[in-house]
Amino acid sequence: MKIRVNTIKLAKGIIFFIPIVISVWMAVQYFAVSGNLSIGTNFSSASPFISEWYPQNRAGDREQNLRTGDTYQQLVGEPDYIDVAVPRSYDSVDVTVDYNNDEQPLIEFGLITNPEPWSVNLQAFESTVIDEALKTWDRIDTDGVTLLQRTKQFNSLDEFRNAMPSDKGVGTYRYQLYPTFIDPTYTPSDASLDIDRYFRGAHEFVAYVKNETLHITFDFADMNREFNADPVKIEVYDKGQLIDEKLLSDDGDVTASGVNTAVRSLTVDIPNLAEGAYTLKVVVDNDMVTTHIHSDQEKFVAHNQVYIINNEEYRIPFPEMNLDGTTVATNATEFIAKTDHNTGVQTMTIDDEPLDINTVHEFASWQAENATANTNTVRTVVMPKNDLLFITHGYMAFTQDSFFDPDYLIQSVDEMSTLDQLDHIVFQDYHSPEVLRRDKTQTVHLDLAGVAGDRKKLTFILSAPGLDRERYMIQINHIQFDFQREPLWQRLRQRFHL
Amino acid sequence: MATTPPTFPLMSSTNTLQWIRTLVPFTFRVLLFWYLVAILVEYIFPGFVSNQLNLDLFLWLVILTALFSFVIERKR
Repeated sequence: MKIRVNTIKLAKGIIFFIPIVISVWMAVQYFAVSGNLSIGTNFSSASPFISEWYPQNRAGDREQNLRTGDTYQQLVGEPDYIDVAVPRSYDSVDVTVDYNNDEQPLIEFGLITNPEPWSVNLQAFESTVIDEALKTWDRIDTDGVTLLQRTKQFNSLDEFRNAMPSDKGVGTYRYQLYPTFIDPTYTPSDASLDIDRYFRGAHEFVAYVKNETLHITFDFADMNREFNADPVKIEVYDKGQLIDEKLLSDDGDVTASGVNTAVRSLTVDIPNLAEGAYTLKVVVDNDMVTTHIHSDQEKFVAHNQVYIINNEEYRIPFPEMNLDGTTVATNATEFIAKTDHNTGVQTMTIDDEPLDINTVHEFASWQAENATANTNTVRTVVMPKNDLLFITHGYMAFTQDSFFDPDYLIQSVDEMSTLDQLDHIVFQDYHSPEVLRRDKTQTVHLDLAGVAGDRKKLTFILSAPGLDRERYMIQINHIQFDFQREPLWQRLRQRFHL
Repeated sequence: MATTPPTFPLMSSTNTLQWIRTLVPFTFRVLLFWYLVAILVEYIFPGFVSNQLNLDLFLWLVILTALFSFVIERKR
């Protein structure tokens, strides 16, 4: 009897003790006592922390291989997203993905740092072109930058940069090369270029100069829609080197008043420049609109991205705005575009080929049918209603005559690249995935410092350009998130200055 | 005099019933207590519990043990 009573007491003790253990474990996780949190899923069941890949039309349901019992999700379109909810905010995360990919040439993985305005931190994940070159090409590593050569021609990266071959294919990935671009047919004239498009936020332009002063005037208006100061900075670069800078302070209104300020101007005026292409970076936030550009340089292009807002949506702050559609000449072979307003729903055309932008906040994509044969083709893109964030790899001009491509020697290693086009590849911030038969494993490190909000709900993105068009597939077998932050005791020490 | 070997107490059906009659109501009380604690903690630290445990499942567990406990108490 006594033994039975003691046994029952023991059982009661265990039953009461188990929730205490669980509570302590949850507290350790929640307060990040160790500073680390590891969560993962193999998609065998719903996870409290990690969602499935979505959207549904691009990511399949969770599936199981009946023969092996392995579970996975297949991605047949891109981009794809996966949400993670964590109890605390962390400083960084290592994401390890076990996957199968037989054909998709380029994959990038990252994090949405801000949904509005859209910004993404994408890291290299897999490039089959670079992986193939790494097997047999000559390799030189310098300060985190790697130069691959099909046939060794240069003994160092500096030697290569100083004497870049003009008769060989040069590919870059996550690395900017600055070739000296000379246009032998160019003759400076008195003609100037006036662009009456309204550009919202930061932009990058390139102008060509020969025996003339680089003279470009930008007009700005501050919409004051957000709580912060909105200064303006224009940086001028010559082959990656900053050579001049112009500043315009905030208009004095740091509130979200919604009151437009009067237009103010900044002029870049630099004489005696060597012939070549010069980059002008307009460094502003999304409250600032470039309302007019006057360029004495006829060759003037925008690089990689434009956000043109000549649309009804912006009629109130800019009643004088010209609402005509925008026609752009570009050498891009692929791009994505989206609008954030119903008034921006429209049908774009690319050389008369229509592209519907019919879902607000969602990117539509376009790619040339045979981009390898069209890298030098200049296309005409028409945005009849504007209010589009237009993102590409390439240059865009606002008249046909003002178009030029300062990167004509260089091509980005992207999903359209093939190894036979290239003789040299320069890249950084990339390492090949580990491969075991068909299975691949890749780990990406992401800094969470720039993520908007409390960083407890994160959306990760996988980009695989051309995945749906080429009908490729990526199978995700397992994904692991290892979050890091300072241990609790260290944070307490800092808080209480111990 | 022949003696019957001692039987291990747990193997008796009577003892099993006694275990159930004692532990099920106890488990219900423990679960109810911790569920209320979980709700309070969740209110003060949102996500503390819900990010790691399914509160709805927890509630169902409490309800289930309550039902069993009620049945056991009625049959006494």
